[in-house]
Amino acid sequence: MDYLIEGLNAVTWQQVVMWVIGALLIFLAIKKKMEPALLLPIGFGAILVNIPGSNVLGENGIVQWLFEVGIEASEAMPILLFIGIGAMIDFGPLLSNPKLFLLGGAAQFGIFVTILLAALIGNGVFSIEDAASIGIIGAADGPTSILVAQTLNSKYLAAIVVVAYSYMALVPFIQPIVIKLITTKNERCIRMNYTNYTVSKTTKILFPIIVTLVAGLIAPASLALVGFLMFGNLIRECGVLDSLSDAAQNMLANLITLLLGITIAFQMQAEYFVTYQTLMIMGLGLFAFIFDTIGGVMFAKFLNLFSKNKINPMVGAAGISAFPMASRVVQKLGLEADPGNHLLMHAVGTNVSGQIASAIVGGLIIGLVA
Amino acid sequence: MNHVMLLMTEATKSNVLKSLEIMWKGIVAIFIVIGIIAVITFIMNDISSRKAQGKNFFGKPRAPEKSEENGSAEERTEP
Repeated sequence: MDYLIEGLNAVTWQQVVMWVIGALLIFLAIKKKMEPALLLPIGFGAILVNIPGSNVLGENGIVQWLFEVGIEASEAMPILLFIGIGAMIDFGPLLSNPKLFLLGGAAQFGIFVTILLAALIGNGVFSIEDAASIGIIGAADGPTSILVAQTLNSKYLAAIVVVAYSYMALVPFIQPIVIKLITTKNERCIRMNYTNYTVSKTTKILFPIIVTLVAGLIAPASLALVGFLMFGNLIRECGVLDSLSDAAQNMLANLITLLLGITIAFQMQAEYFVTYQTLMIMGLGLFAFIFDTIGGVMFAKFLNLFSKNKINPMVGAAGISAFPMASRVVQKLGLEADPGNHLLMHAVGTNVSGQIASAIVGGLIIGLVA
Repeated sequence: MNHVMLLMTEATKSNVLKSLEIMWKGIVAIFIVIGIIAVITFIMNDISSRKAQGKNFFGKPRAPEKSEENGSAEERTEP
């Protein structure tokens, strides 16, 4: 009868911890609706790969195969997901007010400060590749985090991805506290006029091509992310590929998302995940989100020093890539400060700018570190 | 700052210096890329709005288009 309890005897306490973490992620996904499309598969995968003798791992294991083919070999999954994301994004609000581009760039500040902090407090624990991968949590962008951590060969990939997606879901709780701490009531009341300027179709079609060219020529390492994001957007805007655009937005994005979570769980094996470094990564991830928000808000204040048409500094906070949560936070805080203060369109413009900027920064970091 | 640097191991010191390099280069590069994209977008918007107002690139009214063979449609008379 020993063979029946062989598996039970082989269980380690670290694996039990991983089951609890997996159950917690599933709970958060279902009960709290925190990024359910990612956290639920990751949570289930965490349980799946931490059962002793699990045949999803090993040379012929399906999860290991998915990881090796879909992420390790070419980072195909996160990159393909970018086609779907690009097809979902309407850059109209950003194109009608190009000034908002700058706020998206400024809101990447947290990434760089976090890299510095990780290098400083890691005290030799985190290599520069690990520190850069941890910093990219501040991109608030799951596929970019996966791509950077994998390309830089960080052994903390799973922790980084779980932390990135968890904090993205927590944006509605993190950002309001930070924004209120660094803005005055008067600043939050600043109204911004929205001119319903219609962007021409030619501009919308040329935009993804131009972004690809500019980003590619200055930061070639960002091309995989930016290029596929813009490819998805070109399919959306060209007007002659509606069925492909629909497939990218729905079928492709859903299929990749379905597999991505469980594939990432390959890295959630107890021996790699149950470490004090995971706790440090959680702290550093929070730091990155906070400083992204601070960077965006402060840069908006800086622009106000020179601008006649004042920007509500809160709009800068929407420059993180978490879409559309960051925009909603800004809209809600604007209405809270002044019931007639509608900032949604400006926040959406800044938010999509943050998506482009985070992909570019991801590529820049790969280029600078690798 | 020097005291802090003295407390660090060689590996940490090298990581910190590298991260500072990533920081300045990264921030400069992102603003250059984003700035160029913003300027090009502004120019594209400007050109399309001029076009919509019937003006050419230099802001002057565009000349009426002529038909290659018989002049413009308004000038043609039906037989």
